[in-house]
Amino acid sequence: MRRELRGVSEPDPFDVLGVEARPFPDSDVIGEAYRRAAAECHPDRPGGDGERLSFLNAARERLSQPSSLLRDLARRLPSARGVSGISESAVPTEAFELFSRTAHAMRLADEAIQAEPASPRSRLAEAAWRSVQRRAERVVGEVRTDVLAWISRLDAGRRELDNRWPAVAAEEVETLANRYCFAERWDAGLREQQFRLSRASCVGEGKL
Amino acid sequence: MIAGIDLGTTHSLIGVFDSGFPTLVADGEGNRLFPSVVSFLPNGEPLVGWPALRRRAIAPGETISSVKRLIGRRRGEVPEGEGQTLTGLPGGEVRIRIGGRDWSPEEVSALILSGLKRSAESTLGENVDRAVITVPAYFNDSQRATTRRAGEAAGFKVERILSEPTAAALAFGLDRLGNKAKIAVYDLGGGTFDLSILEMQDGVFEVLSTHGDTRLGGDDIDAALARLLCERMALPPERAGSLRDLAEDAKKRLSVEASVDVTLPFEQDGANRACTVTRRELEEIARPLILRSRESCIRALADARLAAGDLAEVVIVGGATRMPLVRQLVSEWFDREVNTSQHPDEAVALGATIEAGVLSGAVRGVTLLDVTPLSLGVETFGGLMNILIPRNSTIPCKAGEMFTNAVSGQTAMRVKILQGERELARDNWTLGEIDVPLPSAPKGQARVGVQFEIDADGILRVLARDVVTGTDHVLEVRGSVDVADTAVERMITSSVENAFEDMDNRLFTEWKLKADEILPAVAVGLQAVGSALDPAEREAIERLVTEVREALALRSTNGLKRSVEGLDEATERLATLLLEQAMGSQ
Repeated sequence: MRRELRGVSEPDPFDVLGVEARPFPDSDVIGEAYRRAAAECHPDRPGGDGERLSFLNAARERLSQPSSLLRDLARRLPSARGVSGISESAVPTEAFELFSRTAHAMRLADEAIQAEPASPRSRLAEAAWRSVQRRAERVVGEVRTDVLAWISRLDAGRRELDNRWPAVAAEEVETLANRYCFAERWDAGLREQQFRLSRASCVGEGKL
Repeated sequence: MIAGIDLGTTHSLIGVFDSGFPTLVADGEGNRLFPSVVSFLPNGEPLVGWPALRRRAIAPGETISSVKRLIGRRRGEVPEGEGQTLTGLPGGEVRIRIGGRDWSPEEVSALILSGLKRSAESTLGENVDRAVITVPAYFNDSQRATTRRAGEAAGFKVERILSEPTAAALAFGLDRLGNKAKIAVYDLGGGTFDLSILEMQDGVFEVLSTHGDTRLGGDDIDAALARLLCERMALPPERAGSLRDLAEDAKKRLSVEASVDVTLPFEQDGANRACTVTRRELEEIARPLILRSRESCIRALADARLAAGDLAEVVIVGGATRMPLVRQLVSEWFDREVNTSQHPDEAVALGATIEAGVLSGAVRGVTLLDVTPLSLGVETFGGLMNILIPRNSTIPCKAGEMFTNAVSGQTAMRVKILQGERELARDNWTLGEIDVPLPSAPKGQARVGVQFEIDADGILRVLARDVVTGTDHVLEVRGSVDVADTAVERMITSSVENAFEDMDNRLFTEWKLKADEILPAVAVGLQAVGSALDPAEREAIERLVTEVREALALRSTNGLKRSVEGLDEATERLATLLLEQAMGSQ
């Protein structure tokens, strides 16, 4: 909701950054346009404009995530109805199994993190917790691999849309944006759990 | 003229951009380091810098050091310092009492900054009235805003508040502007620690992520070593505070020597006290402190979505990185030689000076893009934190939030502004409260858009838009006496009371905790790898489990101690097997 609300007050991110919408800009294109524009309006420079830089920051943020990039693209199509956000749409059927596995992995990781002994009083307790935690790490890792595989399938769909443009329906773009929305959310959640688990398992030594 | 200032916990430095080069300014005696110490003479007159540091040895009670640890903090958050009497309300700003007057950290920092200003002006023979001041990257809004106010009180126009590791990266990258690389800056100073990951490309220095600990530094190692010295020289523990200088000196010597003799002359009993400390002993007490920085490294890498191998360099700065153990551990973590090309004490000040050059137009083609270290949000119903600007967002940035009235005719709504990463509002830092004015309307009909802006200094501004006139006006963020702080105070008091509880009771509780931990672990272990044990071994374990349960039921402290210890021993091999299985399955 908030992102949409922010979007209302902000100009089109493609215009802000001065990048072409087609072909869909990749991170190199966005990064280069951003750095050039940011250097120009940075408040460190005489006559700099902090407000413009904050718009640039927001625009880059939007275009860097496929979900919001696609939403901004969909707006350019005549039949666009606007996607209302993840909270109001259902989990796509194709990802239903992945959804349930993600939820399971998230819970497993939470349990493993909570089970950590505050200051291990015995070797056995330490070992028992470690085995729980390793299992969670494994499951989270497996599910995340599958989420990433789903994301690369979505990427293929995005390339296909790009090639077909402008012979695409706004609805197609919005549907894909929605899928990305779920995939990004799950990936971020699982990544966070991986981090929490690895932090918990660090004995303070060794490589990061 | 714009100065670049590194306002450090133990030392500060000042530099200016002079005829095309960033130059650090030395005082009349040739010192570039300026101790961040203020001492008050009996007549109330403050001494700053070297004279204040020299006076600390004879008048520790009238001298303030490491004030940076207190800046922008509330009383309830800071532990009592050695030798310094802290005052102020639990939820209010912390103050330091000296000679019957309360000093705020802001005033003390302003004294240090004006001392630096005077020193630089007398060396340069020129007015220095504008400044770039560095702060730890992990400083929150309140700590940054207080530092800026201190700069203004010292007579500077503060042009930029800059993060220390970002400044160090600027010093490192100035002669590598053509490169495209991702680097990490590990900055362990006197009192604070930061780890920032940056990308350098086409003269743009962009911070990708940052994490840190604003209460971790060389100071902590000195304090720990001082406690050890106290013990060695058979002095009462409360003397540790006065041994800090001695400890610091020993620590520095141990960076090059394997063992040093420490002498404390002129004790009251007339005898000299002496002891020997080895580098190994120092490292033993320093290691747990340094290990605290490891988590920040993991967090910053994860937030930048990078692995240690993606970094071209790991640059270390800050006085505490002179310790061989710090270099060794950081090299191990990042699996490479660390880059020591920057002067540990001077890199940050040099970077601040370069930024001063950018602002004055003397340096072209350099752009700094920093991030906000902590998520910014508001408290919602149910005491949760609702994030508006996530951590590591590039600044300046803004986010809007719509507020509405809960009842008809409500004229204002009080909103608590938070910074931090925790889910519950009360676990985060409360920046203050704003009163959002609401137009008179039926319930749920009034709408006011509030804009939260973080500027290029990382400092927050809150604006409310008047729907009728369409104009924005700044809302004042007022500090609030935090309920959580009072709760902390209460917790401290009650834990002191509990300390006088019956000894046996406490011992029993301790052993019960251990039993509560080991019993479920035995169940897990037996189920997973129990089949690999001898029947006799397994039987012994099961018998001891029964004994532990009986002792618990009888509340027998001795029986519980005996059986838990027995069980701990009997499950040695089980633990090994379980650990092997866990490690093998990854």
